[in-house]
Amino acid sequence: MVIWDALISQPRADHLIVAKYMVIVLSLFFFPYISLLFGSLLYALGLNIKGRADQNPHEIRLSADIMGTLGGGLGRGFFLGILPIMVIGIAFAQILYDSDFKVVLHFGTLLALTTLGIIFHFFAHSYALEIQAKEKVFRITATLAAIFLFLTLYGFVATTSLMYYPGKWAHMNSGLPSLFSAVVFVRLLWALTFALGFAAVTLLFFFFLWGEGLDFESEGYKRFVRYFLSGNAFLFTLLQPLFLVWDLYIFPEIGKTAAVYHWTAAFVLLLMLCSVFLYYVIIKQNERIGRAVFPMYVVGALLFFVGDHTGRETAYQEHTNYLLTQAQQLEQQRIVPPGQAPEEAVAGVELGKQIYNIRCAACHAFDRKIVGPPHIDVLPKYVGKKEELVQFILNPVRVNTEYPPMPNLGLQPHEAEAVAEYLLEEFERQQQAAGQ
Amino acid sequence: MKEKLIPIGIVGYFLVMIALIGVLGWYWQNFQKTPQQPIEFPHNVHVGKLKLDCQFCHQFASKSRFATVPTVKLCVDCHKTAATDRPEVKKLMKYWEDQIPIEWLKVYSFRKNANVNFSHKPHIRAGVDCSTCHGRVDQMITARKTRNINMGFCVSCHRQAKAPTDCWTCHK
Repeated sequence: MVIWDALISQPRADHLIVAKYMVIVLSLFFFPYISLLFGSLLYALGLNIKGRADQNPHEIRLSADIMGTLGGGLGRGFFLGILPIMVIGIAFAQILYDSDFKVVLHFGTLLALTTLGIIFHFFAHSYALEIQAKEKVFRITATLAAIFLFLTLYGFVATTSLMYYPGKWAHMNSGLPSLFSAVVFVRLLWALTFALGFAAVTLLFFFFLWGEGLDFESEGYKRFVRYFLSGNAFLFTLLQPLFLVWDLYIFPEIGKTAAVYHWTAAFVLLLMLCSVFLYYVIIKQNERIGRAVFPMYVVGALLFFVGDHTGRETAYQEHTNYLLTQAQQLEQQRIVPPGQAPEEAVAGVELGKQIYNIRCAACHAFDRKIVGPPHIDVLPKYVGKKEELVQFILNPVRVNTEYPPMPNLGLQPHEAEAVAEYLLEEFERQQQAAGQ
Repeated sequence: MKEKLIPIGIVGYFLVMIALIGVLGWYWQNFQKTPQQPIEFPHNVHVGKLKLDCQFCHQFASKSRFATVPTVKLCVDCHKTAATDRPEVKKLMKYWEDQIPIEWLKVYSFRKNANVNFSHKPHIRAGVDCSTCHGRVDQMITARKTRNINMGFCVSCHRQAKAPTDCWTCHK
């Protein structure tokens, strides 16, 4: 974690843009992949338990086929689950740099949960292949994998939802309070229905439409698989708009933009098309009608993430403005000619000149009136009385009613002293030049 | 017949959901969205960059219930010479020349039936930072609502600060 912290530096404006797109694109890998593992695992586990109880060979066979098709592959798990969540964490560390949001705590926890979920899923997959011999071990590892994958989804939803509440960040000493809120609850319900819907759609795609598809042992088994998957996909696709609308209803005001509504409506429109196609797959018993459903689900997830990230950006836009200002200052420091000392190292008259040019010159000049009076009119009374000038800069009072009152600029005493030194020295220099 | 009705029902259900999203969006647009101010006053320049104190403009925050918006004259005092080429400053000067007050729109308000009798004065005098309720105004352009100022928000802060939590403190 210390290394991760040390790797993150003050972001520039272009870093923030790259980080934003990294979050959207990698969420599109991470969230559907974890949803797919979790959803398929639930189907496999449920079918296995129910199949044994009902003595239904189709259910037991489908459980093994699901694990055989979507399980395993630690490499796949690393590239689609572990690596994306690490990079999303790094991107958020940039986006939320110097904020109270505990990026390392949240994404570190998510990384651990994702890794455990993928490892246990790998074990469950291995035992599923020899399901007759090691069914008990399969059930234990599959249950553990399901728990960790559920916690990963829950944590991801809670973490990304917490970003909508910048006012709460400073008070969050652990990630636990972020797990309990109405927004997180509704979003979790949507995430679970999405996971079950997406897993059924993906399995339908891989069993029937991808390459040669699954080698079905009988026509009866094929009908059972088609009916089971299209039925579940249809049901969970129907449920999603309820949670999406509910989510918009309780959505934090701070994150609302027109784009959030547009993207959600577009997503629901895609879900509508998916539902109609899935309905005809069930009725016509023809899976080819549903071949567009899998890509539509992926596009739908993309629409959701774009909308969600737009909302988050709106919620913490003040922090982004702050980072952009910091980045601008950093850029200005970078263009200081080589050899010139940074502001911190400069003292006295030179520091006073720098502060004067940044903070005072917008309203004052030596020889003419801008907002405040010209210095040549007011400085003579401070010659030899530097301390009085310092006190005036620190606590300005209205002297001449022809001018607006000077605001308190909140300078530090040493800064006010440096400005006073600069003003008096520059005044003296200009007087001498005028005398010659 | 049934075969045709079910797909129509599915499409109808989704269209109702899309219509609900439209209604929620319409409600937000008309009742919740941060209002478009007559002049895009950049708080980030005045507070963030120039470091003006909030009370330089909102002069009555420590003296009355209302923080109040500045008079046009206060703005013009500086802007008759400062940044005069900016379009928003030109708008300001037009108000000044026409002697019309600027109709700033309220960003924060309590529901009337909540009967909240909030006063800025005791909060400012107790040293509560403006950002506690109004967020990082120094990073905003026009002010926007970043905190949901509800009873829970007020009470938790009052408890932390050991300020009175009696109902009559806020509700009259």
